[in-house]
Amino acid sequence: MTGAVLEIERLRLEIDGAAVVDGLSLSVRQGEIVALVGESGCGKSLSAFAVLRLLPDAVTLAGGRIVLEGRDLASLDLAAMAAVRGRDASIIFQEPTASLDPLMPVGEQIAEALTAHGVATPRVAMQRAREMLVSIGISDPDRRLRQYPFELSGGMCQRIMIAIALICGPRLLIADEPTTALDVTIQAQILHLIKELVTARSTAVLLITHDMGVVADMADRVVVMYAGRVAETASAEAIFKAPLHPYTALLLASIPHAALAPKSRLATIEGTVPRPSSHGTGCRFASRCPLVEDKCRRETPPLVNHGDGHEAACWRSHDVGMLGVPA
Amino acid sequence: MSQPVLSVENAAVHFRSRGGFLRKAGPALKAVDGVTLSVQAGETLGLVGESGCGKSTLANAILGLVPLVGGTITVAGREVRSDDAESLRAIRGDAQMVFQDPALSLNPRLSVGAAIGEPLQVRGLAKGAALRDRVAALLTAVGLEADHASRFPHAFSGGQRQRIVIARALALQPRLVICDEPVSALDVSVRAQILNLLVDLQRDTGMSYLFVSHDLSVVRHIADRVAVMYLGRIVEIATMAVLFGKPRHPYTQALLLAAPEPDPVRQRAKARRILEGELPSAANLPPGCAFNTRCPIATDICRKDAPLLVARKDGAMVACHHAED
Repeated sequence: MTGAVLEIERLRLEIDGAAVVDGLSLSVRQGEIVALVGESGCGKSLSAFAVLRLLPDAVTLAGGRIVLEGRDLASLDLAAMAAVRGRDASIIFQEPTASLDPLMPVGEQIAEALTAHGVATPRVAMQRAREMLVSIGISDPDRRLRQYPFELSGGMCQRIMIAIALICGPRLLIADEPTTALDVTIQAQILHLIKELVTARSTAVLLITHDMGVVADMADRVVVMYAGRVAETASAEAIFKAPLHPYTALLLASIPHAALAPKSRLATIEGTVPRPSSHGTGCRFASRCPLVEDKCRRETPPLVNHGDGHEAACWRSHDVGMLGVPA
Repeated sequence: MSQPVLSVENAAVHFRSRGGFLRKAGPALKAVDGVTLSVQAGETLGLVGESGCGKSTLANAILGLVPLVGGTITVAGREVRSDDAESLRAIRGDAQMVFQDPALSLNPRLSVGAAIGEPLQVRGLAKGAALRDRVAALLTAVGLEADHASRFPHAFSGGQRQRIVIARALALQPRLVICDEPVSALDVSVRAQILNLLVDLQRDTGMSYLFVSHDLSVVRHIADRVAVMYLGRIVEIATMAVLFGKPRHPYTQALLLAAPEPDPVRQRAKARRILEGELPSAANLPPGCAFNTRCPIATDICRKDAPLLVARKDGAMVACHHAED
């Protein structure tokens, strides 16, 4: 595919030899927002951390390629990786207040992103930081630059994080649950801001989220993960309209929404996610899947393209419509 | 109409930072101010608002966990008096609470059976075999197995722990259960299981819920009526259909617009009117309507006079000088 800023190929992450992410492939093009979704423990955040090589010590990168604009990040040494972070690819996290240095005024933290890469002198960097705050709609920027994180609200801290992440003009922004800790009106502000900035700069965005509302609002394409593997990938429209994996279908049907009768029964997924150490052959969703048949327990379903880039890893994709998922 | 299960009249909870040798006591933080609402038998009242709006403080005040500085709260006809242990004991037989994080709500050293049976034991309502039977029945009622009673909380998933917390809340057969963000810490598929359970339990027992949540889609699904709070006050209260169908207060409207819907077609067709600014501090409220600093339709009167909660023709109560009828 041309124009891919980030291309992850067959990524494998292990904890004690057990695969927590197993064969993840995805690509994010210039100006595109790709949502990586799934429930706690599915490996979505670890995959995102792997791109910037920010994995916890217990997790090893056991295979695959992470290609950012033609360069395989998986093979870079730490010094080369440090030069990539914040300049070519940036990340913003869920907890903005925990991501900022509490002992440093936020202006210096924004400017540091430039000086650390040697692209500006401290004086110029501070000037650029001020311009950045203005461009993201922060009023009274001179006062803000001098403030410490504890003086700012959660929403304001997340704006500062976005300023730090984007000031070097990276080609890729990874946003790991960027609004999960924020209130809904502030969430709307931050999502709007991210969308505006990445559109103006044609930044590629990998958005990690568990919130299908945020996906519906932001994403061009969606990658659904289950137990470390890709279950389904498609355009945002297609995945909501006609999911081809039972996990996606049930996940969507379990969310209360306007078209459902009040207090009506929501779809549920019985059982629990299997532990990485217990993964055998076959589909990992088999133990919880209402459509399961013998083959599912024996053979791992490959990701099959059903047209228009809509791929699903399920032997019974054509029967998923039977689950009675609301359109 | 029969006597409501919960009746809150003009309730106020203020917090005050303590003064010191060199520091004067701060201004009162009006966490809850002049709140009036009621919950009928078998009804679910949704209470929504953003962090710091006072919804959890109100929930705590109903159980007497924080003192009122004004107004009254009655549960099943009995006044809640936070300084009277006897009355609190009685109230807590009728009103129980389910909190957000089930991991923090359960004592890790207490077996599940002991935790669920404790309210019955403390009140001398059951012991021995009768207690064990009752605990087994409660576990079954929330979708767990009777033999789970001997296990400890760490052996359960988040969704199962929330079921245990619910079983414990049901032990005394309360008439009101206050659910404070009961599904916010859970994954989507597990959240659906707990919501289904709450609906089923209410149908079987006829108890009432005060369902506190920041998640409008969940509230729309489960509530009969909805109250919207902003900075310690109720700004709008109406039936679910009226509130979601015809929101009148500009804050309610903004909340509904801001909540992303899990449907790209509907979500992207929604009007983009993003609420500017942030929540003012509850210790330093703006004069007049507390929402005037962020309100798109505020005028001079809004900066001077606080609007009263006024009933409209369809029964909705709205506190806004400019809201339509």
